[in-house]
Amino acid sequence: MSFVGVINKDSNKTIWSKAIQSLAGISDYIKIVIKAEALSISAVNIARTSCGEIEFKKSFFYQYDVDFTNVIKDGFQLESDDGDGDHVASYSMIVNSKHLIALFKNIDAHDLEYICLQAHISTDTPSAVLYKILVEMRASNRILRKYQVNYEPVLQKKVDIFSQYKKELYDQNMSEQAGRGVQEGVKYIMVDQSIPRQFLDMMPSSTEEFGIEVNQEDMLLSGFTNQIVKDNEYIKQPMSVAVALSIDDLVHSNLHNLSGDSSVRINFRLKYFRNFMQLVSSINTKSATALETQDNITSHYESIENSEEYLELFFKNPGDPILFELKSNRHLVIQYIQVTNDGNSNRVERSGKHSKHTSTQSSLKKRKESKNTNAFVLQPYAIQKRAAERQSLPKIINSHNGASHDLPPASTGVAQHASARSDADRPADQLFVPESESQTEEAASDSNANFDLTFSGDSRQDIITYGNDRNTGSIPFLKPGSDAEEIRKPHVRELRSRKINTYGSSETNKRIIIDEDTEYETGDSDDGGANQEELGPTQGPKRPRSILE
Amino acid sequence: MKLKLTTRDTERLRTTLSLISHVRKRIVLRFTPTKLSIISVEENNVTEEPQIWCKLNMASLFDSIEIQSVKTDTISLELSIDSFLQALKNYEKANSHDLHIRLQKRDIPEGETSKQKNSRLVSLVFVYSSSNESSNSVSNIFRIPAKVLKHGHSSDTLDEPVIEGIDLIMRLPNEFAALYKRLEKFKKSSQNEMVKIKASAENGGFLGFVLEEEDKYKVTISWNRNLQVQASHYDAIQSTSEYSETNGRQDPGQDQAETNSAAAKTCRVLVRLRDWNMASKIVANCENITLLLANHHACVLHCYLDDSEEIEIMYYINALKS
Repeated sequence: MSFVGVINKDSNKTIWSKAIQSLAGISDYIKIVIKAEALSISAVNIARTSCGEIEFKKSFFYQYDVDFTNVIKDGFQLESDDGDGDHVASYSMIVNSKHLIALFKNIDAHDLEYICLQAHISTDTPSAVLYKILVEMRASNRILRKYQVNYEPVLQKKVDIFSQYKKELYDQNMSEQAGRGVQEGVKYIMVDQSIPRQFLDMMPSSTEEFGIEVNQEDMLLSGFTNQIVKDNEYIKQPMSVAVALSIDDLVHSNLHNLSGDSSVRINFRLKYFRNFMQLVSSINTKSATALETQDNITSHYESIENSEEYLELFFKNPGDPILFELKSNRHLVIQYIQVTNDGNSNRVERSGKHSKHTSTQSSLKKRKESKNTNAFVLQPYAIQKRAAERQSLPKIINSHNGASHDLPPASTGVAQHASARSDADRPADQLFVPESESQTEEAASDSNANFDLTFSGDSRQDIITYGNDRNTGSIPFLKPGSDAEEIRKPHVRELRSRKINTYGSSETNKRIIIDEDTEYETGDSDDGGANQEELGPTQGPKRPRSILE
Repeated sequence: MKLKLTTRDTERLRTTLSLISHVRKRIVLRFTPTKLSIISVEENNVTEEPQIWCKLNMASLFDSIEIQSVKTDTISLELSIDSFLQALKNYEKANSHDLHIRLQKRDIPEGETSKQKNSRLVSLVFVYSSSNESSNSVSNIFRIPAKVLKHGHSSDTLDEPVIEGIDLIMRLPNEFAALYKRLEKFKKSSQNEMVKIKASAENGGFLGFVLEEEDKYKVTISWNRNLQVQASHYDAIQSTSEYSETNGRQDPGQDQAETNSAAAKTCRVLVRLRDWNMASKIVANCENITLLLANHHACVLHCYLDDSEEIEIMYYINALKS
């Protein structure tokens, strides 16, 4: 097991669910990046104008373990950190967001004991679980649900707009002390997140555009619809809403340094910003309710921290991206990048001194142009496009081939069949090498040995499955070989096969494959060998079983 | 043209609007220094479709009033009622002090040349300031697209309908709203289902609603007693006669119901059920509801929002030709 993440707090389960939902609203694909200290999920919309990223710190999870020893080369990267030359190891993958939505939407946080995410990313991964995220959720009624979500390993291009802006801001602050203004540089605002949230609540749902205007005295947020309409259609337009607040009321900003009467106005499509703010507000309200239901002290502290949650905005000039960042209770960082309309399509919402732009072209056209002329364009780092994958295909296949000799075998016909089936489901230009090509009997036995070695004596094996003993209130890990597990097994199996029927009939094209015949199970019946004990409770015969049986 | 208003309490204005907001998407606001009329009419078919006229006393609604127009001090605006309501609701939620309402030139969207500029297109702007939890003062600005109705424009010649020849005036009890629910039960999907309103002053008053489909069914839902009825002829609305003693709920202010032989005949008005039912919200929430009927011609619901009788709501339905 190379990656394990377990969420057990009710509020965190809800946050996880909301975060997935929010990103699924942006794109059909969600990128997951696993690092030693944090898990981040992100999505870029199809026009590559908006990007949302949510980083869950290690402390967000009840259990978070990553091991990059013998990691599969696909998706694994060492990035050099600008600061001290240290390298940050990461493993990236993309997942169809519909699958995650199916699993995590509308989860009942109180009813779930835990959500466990696992991925095998070492070279000795058995083929049945290769490129799959194993999801395990146990409900308080002792029903254990297991899912496998296929992913594609990707190499990420890091979006470094954030670090770039922050660095620029830092440099700016240094030079400002020498008396330079911020006209051309990064503008920074820290504001109570309730202000933009309440503002969005006031807005008619059909409003399309969002604008931020700042000058030396105040900040103006506006929502409007920029349409050219016939006269008799004019009053059908949604009303425009704006709120203004004095810069002195902001928590923090560098706008005091704006010179004289200059003002900066940027605007962009509202759609994804609304999505982002919904996530922000849902996280906040959920923590508030958690306070009521949970009486322990930690949640109380969390809510205190939440009440001091501030939204940070970084932006430059029209056409440059605007960045939003919200750090929530130390476990969570939500970042959102939005490409803005360029200067020419700036519309003066406020009547008064700033009206300079009179232009004949339609704003729509401009908006399109602006996407091309932006100084920054969101890179397709969360490789959503097949084309992007194809470019990097040769390299990945090579590395994959190299690694595949170490792949543990699908040792029985059933498992072969299973993996072949999942291969058949994949489009032709996938990164996967069919198992038959890379597997020989010799390799099979070799890697089998490797596999055993890796897992024997692995101290993490007993944390793979979580049994939340509600009677004692503590969470004891189920030890392999304990009586409770022995009894539970048949029940689980029955449950899984029932799921297969429902999934198989309706969603044949989906890549959630609930595979009843994993090689572990067949291994159980065929070999029953001693090495099975090393597999860990979720895969081997020691996986949780119902006490009821 | 200038319109500047300030108010603290928008509740009654909002309630009035919310009673009629489901009827049509757009309304006409006619501001004069003394009266605000909220008018809901069907643009293309003013006379045949139902009309709603609400008359509000400007002085009781607004603390300061500034209205200027070239010829008369009347400004008529057409705008979306939902936007107006939403802005008012936001103001009330914000727990703010003063709401400023003013008329402003529209912002010309870029890409539109000055040729296309139409001075009749304006914005009705709501401005108020509120403070959030951390006591920051935030000013909120709402711009509602609106259209000024000029003189000579067909909509501006909107006149309050005059119903000639009222045959029956009937005071409806407050419980009358329950009858709408009954009628709703018999409503079918058909848009043009009709209901015949029958009313007479006999035996303490009778008000019946007949739903009928030839050779299939005939349902009559009626209010049989305890109605204050005043029957009249064209010229006899104010004439006094003996009071119908069967009515136990005598209103001292209206002690002139009459039952003379000429008015004893039954009044009949055929209207669309949909049109009639649209008034249910008004009837359920208003006071002093009076139904005026002109035989085969029209029916009018007249009521006040509250006991102060400062806000008057009238709902006109013209009869269908039977």
